[in-house]
Amino acid sequence: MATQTMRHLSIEPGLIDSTLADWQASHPTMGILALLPEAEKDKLSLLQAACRARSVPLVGGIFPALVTPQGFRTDGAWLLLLDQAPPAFLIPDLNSGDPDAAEKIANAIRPTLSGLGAGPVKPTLYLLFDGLVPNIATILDGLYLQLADRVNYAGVNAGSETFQPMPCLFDSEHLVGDGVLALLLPGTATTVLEHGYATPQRAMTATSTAGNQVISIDWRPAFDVYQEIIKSEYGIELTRENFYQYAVHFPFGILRANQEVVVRIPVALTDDGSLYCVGEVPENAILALLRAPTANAGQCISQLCQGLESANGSLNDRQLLTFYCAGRRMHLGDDAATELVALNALTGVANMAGALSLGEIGSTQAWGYPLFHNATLVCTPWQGT
Amino acid sequence: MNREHILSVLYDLTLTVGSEVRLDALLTRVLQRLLYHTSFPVGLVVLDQVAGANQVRGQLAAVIGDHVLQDQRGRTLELPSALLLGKVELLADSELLALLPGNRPFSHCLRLPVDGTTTILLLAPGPVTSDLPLTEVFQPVLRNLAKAIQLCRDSEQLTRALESDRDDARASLVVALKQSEAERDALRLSEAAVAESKALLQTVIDTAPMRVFWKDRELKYLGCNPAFARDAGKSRPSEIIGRDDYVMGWSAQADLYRADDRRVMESGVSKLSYDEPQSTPDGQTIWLRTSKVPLRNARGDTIGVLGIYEDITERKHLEHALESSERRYRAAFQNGIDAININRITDGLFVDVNQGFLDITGYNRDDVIGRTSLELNVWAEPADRKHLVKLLQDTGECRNLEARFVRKDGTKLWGLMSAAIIDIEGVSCILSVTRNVTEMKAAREELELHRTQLEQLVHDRTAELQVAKDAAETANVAKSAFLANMSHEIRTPLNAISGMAHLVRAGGLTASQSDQLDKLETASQHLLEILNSILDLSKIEAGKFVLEEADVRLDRVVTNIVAILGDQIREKHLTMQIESDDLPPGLMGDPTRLQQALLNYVGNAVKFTRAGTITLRTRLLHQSDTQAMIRFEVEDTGIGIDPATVTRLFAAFEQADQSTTRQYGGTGLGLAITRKLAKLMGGDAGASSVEGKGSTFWFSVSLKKGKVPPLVVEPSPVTDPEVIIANDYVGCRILVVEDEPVNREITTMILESLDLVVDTAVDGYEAVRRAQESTYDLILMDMQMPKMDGLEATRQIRLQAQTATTPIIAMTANAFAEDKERCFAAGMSDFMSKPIKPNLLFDMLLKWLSRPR
Repeated sequence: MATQTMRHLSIEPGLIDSTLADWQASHPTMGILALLPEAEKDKLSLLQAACRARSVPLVGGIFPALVTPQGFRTDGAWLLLLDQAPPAFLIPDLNSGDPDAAEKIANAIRPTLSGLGAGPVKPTLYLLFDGLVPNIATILDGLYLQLADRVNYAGVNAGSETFQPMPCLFDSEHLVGDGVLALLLPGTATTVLEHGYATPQRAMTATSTAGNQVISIDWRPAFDVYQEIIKSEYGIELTRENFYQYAVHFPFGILRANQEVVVRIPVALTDDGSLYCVGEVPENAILALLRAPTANAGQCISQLCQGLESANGSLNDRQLLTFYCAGRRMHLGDDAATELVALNALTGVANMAGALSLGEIGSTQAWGYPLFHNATLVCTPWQGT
Repeated sequence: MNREHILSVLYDLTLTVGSEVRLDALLTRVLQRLLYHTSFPVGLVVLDQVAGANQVRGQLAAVIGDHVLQDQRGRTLELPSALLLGKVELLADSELLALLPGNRPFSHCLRLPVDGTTTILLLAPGPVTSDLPLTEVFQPVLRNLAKAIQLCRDSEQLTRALESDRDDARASLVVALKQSEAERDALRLSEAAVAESKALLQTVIDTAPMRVFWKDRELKYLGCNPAFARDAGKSRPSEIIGRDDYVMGWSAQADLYRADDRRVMESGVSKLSYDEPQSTPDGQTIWLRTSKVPLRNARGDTIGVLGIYEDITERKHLEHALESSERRYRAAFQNGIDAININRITDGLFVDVNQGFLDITGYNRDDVIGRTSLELNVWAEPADRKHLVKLLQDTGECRNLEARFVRKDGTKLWGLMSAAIIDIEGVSCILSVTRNVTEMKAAREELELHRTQLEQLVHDRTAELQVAKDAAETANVAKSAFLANMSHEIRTPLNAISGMAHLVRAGGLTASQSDQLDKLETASQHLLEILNSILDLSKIEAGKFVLEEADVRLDRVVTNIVAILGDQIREKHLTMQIESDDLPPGLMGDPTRLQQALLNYVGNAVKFTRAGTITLRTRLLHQSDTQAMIRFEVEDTGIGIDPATVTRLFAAFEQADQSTTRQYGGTGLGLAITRKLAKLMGGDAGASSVEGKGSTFWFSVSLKKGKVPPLVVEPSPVTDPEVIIANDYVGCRILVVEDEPVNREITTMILESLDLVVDTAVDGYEAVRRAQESTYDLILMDMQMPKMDGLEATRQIRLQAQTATTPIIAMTANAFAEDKERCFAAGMSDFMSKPIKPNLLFDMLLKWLSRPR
């Protein structure tokens, strides 16, 4: 049985300290990756103090909720043991001043990358963004242009499910927003990402966009078109009041030549009829209106398991770090927990820890071009030690 | 949906192709979108391909996704033709792809030829799945991309050409501009040079420290500089143009000047640096040093005359003054009484000497000039000459060197020599001035001898005086001790005498006894007066007499005197007359001493006047804001004094004659004390007398003017203290501390006569003990006692709580002021000096017994 390096704990100083002491005894150079639910954000200082007291490097993020093998919870915190504290770069205010965000991240990482040298396995650049950073796809394009295949790319967005600004990325001393926490994790495990959304039949053109804002579709206010199509396709009367309730069920898809689709969930509506998505939409992109699948429709979970095992071998009795899109959970409701239980069962992992995410980074192909997604599950076998 | 799907991809790529104008950005952006759409992880673009036999050379223009290939970006690669050349194709040839110098092996490649010289390769390490026909989808975009690449290149080339043209044009413009500026600067410089040259010439003429003028052939002025114009009495040079010398201030010299002008013009020869006079507009004559030259035009024709001159009047005056000065100095040199000689340094030869030198040394001028001092043997001591030479070498001068010299006749003289090195027409010489001090030196030596003798004398006398002073001081100490001892020893028996007389008189007397007792008391009082006078005189002479400064009510002083002497005046049927000026109020001084002096005068007048009038006058002599000089006069109609005696009266121990003392009594000290007191108070004392007619005695004092004293209501006369004590303080306990048995007994008897309870102690020890054992209302304490004196006893009594406030009154024969101070310092409450007057004792007892304790 693998070492138990994922622990869900109540955020109580004594409990945390004893856990740290327990781990520190056998892993004196360890680091901690912590995942906190939004509801427990006020207790972060206790966790930071406990780690500082033991000189244990801490990194992590605050998410809408935590993922467990059984479903979701909003109490306590996941503490994930890292045998060696990974190189970590907490960069606030990504989009202010020069250089641009991609170059800031690349500049921060590059010296450490050069120091690592050309090992047999390249590291994984695991990126935890604040979910309100509006240009993550562009940042990824820039990062890939600069770092190319020196690293594998994966990551998720942290923050509040209300999409209100909230500092959500931390280390043992700081808590920042509008930034990124970049971790260089050992590349011993391959991250796999899956959403299971099928390509629809109907398409439309986003005639005017600005970053993650869709201003017009087919030269008309975006919300009007969105409203009409949902009415005609699914018979649903969409209003400003029930917008968010239904939007998660009918996200946009950006079509790719390889027949895949990149999901963009609209999450906000402005007075002039613009729609805000999690993630950018290229200007004049042809968008598809997707209908979110039901639980496990399209064999999302089984494909995910297959992908994981194909890249990492059997997961039986191992541990899995799993991020589950918050929009996907909103769409699936209770079935979301069912997906998690199924994932847990199908992979046969001994433990699964993670959180609800506000956007995910990765490629649906093992070595594919890194993309920013919505509505996916992002899984990484967790060895920790 | 496939159609829409393909269209969306093409739409995206078309937008991308059309959105960039720079080739580099275009290729990067297109590659990014292709990788995004296809999920190929790596893409590259090869440009400018040139095909060889099996290879194609081309530039690796853009790379994404492989950092090894990225490092080769911009380089020219040689790749297999099979890889780069051909139609759009999805290749799956690992061996072919292995020839690519990338980071990892690729197994699949989508080749997208843009045109004949440009190819895009999308690379992947494994199969890339897609439902879309990837080899077909991108072809329309590739054609657009080819055009876009060309457009970007054209654009960049055009931009480069434009930038080059712009740079060339800018460079040409800069050159032209510089050339134009240089020409303009040169022109400006040339014009400026002419102007500057003109200005410079004008400045030279205007500011030259001399006068410049120029005239035409008619000898009319053509111009001049401002200095010349000023000499001519004009404010500007233009005012003289067209004028001639006849209308100038120097018209008197006009013919002279014009003659010179004509000579210069006609001869063409300049006349340079000659002196000439000139009359000034104010009638003075100044001197000029003038030069004139012919004034010629550009062709060389003489068109006038140019003159310059400078005012040398001051120089002329200086030269004249110098000549006068030289004559004066020569006279001083020749006629001075000191010997003055000038010797050349190089050989020591006498160059010049004055008459004084010849007179002092006895030589003739011919003996001296051209010879040296060594040849003449004028130095009596060769060392003096060496000393002079050294001083001159070291400092260049010598002051007041005393040396002996030898006259021509061999006699010697003392000289006081000063010398300095001077320059005479380029020759270094020594100028020496020597005064004959032979007589002065002899006189000085004699004076020195006297001074030495005098110093010795002063020294001896000082030593003698010191001995005398020491003796005097010793004697003075002895005298003080004697006086204090004498005072104490006389007062002690006097106390017994007066006390006993009081007690005897209290016991009742016959008329005869009373008369005898009166005489005894008078004798006792006289003895006390002598004693007090001697002490006063002694203190005044020792400078220890301290005057009091208190309110002086002269009316009260006079009233007191009349009251004291009233009985005697009445007995002798004399008339007492009081006369007084209007005196300023608020006078300050010593009222006790004033009264003492005045009482002495009036007492004498009463004493020496058988019948008639005694007048007491108080006169204000003068006053300032702060002081008033008052003169007191006592005039009598008595026996008078002869003039010779009057002058001796104010010396101590003098009376008119010794018989006077026998007849009238008196110590002979009163007048002496009065004069000394008057002098202490800023005045004097004296007397005038006509024998057989009477005398006038006076003294003056300077009194300070103070504030007007407040009106004090005099208390009504009190009842006799003796009666009050006998009535109100019967039984009060008194401790009498006294070592002298008689005095102890007398004091006890006086106190007991008032029904007071008296204990006695014979010394300080007993006093302290008794004070501890019993409670006393009052203690009378002698000062000088065996075993423990009164001061120590008082100190110890004061230490006890029950006696801390008991009145302790000194009753002592130590009558000096410093004794009184010591008693108070020891803690005593009051002070009485012996002999004790019973009435004074009663006052003191009542004062302290009546105080609440």
